[in-house]
Amino acid sequence: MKNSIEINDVVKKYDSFLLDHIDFVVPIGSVVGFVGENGAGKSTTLKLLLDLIHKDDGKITIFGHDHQTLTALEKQEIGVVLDDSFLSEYLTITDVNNIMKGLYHNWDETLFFHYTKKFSLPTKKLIKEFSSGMKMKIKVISALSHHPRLLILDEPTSGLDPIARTELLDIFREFMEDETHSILISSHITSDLEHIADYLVFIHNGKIILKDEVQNLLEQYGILKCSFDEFQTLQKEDYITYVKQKYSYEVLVSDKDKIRKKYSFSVIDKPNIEDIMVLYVKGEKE
Amino acid sequence: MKTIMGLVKKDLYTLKSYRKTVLTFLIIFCAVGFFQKINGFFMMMIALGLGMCTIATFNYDEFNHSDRYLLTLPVTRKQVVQSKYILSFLFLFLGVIIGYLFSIIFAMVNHQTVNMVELLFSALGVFFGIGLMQVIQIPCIYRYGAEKGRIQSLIVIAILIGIALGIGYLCSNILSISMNSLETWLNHYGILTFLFLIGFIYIISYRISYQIVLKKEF
Repeated sequence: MKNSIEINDVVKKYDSFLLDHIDFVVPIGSVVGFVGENGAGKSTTLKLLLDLIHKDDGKITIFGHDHQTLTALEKQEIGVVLDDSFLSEYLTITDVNNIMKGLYHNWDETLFFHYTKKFSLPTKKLIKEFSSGMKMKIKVISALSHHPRLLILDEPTSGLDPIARTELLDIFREFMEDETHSILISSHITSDLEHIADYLVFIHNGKIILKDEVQNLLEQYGILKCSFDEFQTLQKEDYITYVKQKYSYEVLVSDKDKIRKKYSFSVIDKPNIEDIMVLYVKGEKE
Repeated sequence: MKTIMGLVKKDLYTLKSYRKTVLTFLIIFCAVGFFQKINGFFMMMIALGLGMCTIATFNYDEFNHSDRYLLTLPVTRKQVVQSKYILSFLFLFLGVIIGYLFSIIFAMVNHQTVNMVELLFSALGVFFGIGLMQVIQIPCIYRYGAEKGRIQSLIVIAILIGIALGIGYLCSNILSISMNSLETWLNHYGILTFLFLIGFIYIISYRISYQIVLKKEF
């Protein structure tokens, strides 16, 4: 088994939205960043994966088994963080520990309280009195304290300050020190993914429009800045999209070295994931 | 079973914040029952008060989208539904037992004669009545959500009461069936009938709820 998760040709139809033949994998030992703007279909895909909603077509496997027939034992190997759901906010951390002990056979109480201490989370205070960062931390800690092999994280860093985000990313890095572990992380904070993800899957309007290694995206892709006349010399197959600015063009290219060799453009910037996302979504292609 | 008990435990922990409300409710109805010397009413209100705890857990679950989260844990949809019915049954049972015991104590304090069989019938009647409300409410809440489901279930309960009253009127005034014969029948087979009916309505309701949850998207 090479992949923790395999999503093949998955379709989900709503009246006003279509998740259109989604197709990607999460290889064992890797972190896959799942990006896209709000409403692009990230959460719908994760809900399908977790069998919270029913797919109309396609196949999903987790650890090589159909996601709908996972046994309790197999589900023990998965840790999930959902942006908008958790246990009641009228519980304390001690309550959460007591509840989880009854639901996971390999719940590690020592590890759970090690993390709560590490993040200075009060164990006797109700969760509803926590800050957003603290609430997210308790969700992440709960997902990690039964020693899962796979983490599925829906927007785990949204609404957090940079320090809390860094702390969480450090936990995920620590988790990935074991080569049998994998993470699927959805986020619209692309800078976080640059730090942690090995692969990137980009969804837009319910369709996967880009799948690649993060390193490849950051090293090979480029943003060419040129004048109108220079843009006219570019062949269509050499660029992905372009955006017309007031006095210039910004053009997304997938192989900046090739462009440098073929043309005499002087300014080809190294993009970050956000630049690539924006140009993919906002850009035009004639 | 360990998982189901874990889910029940989750609801009990969640209800910790509800305990003051329940306690106040119990104290008020204890006082009313004691001073008004109306044991049946008192028993019913305690059972109703504790029975409402199960319904309250749906509010908490809905507010925090806890069902969605629970289904990502090693928990099945079936176990989620089963845990709610077990919780409902436990609270109702506890409510009736407390009501039953307090009714005896209050009767003794008030120097009233306690008819244990009559009291047992009252307890079973309360169990059946409040149980019926709960088994209508639970599938309605699963289908329509905590807020809408409660309204829908109240409508269903009102219709059922209307039907029951209609049948009663039909029997005594039009078909001229004597209530004495019903009483005699109940005296012989009442306990068994109530127990059977309670079990029956719980099983039917559970099956409906499970089918709703199975198809539901979270």
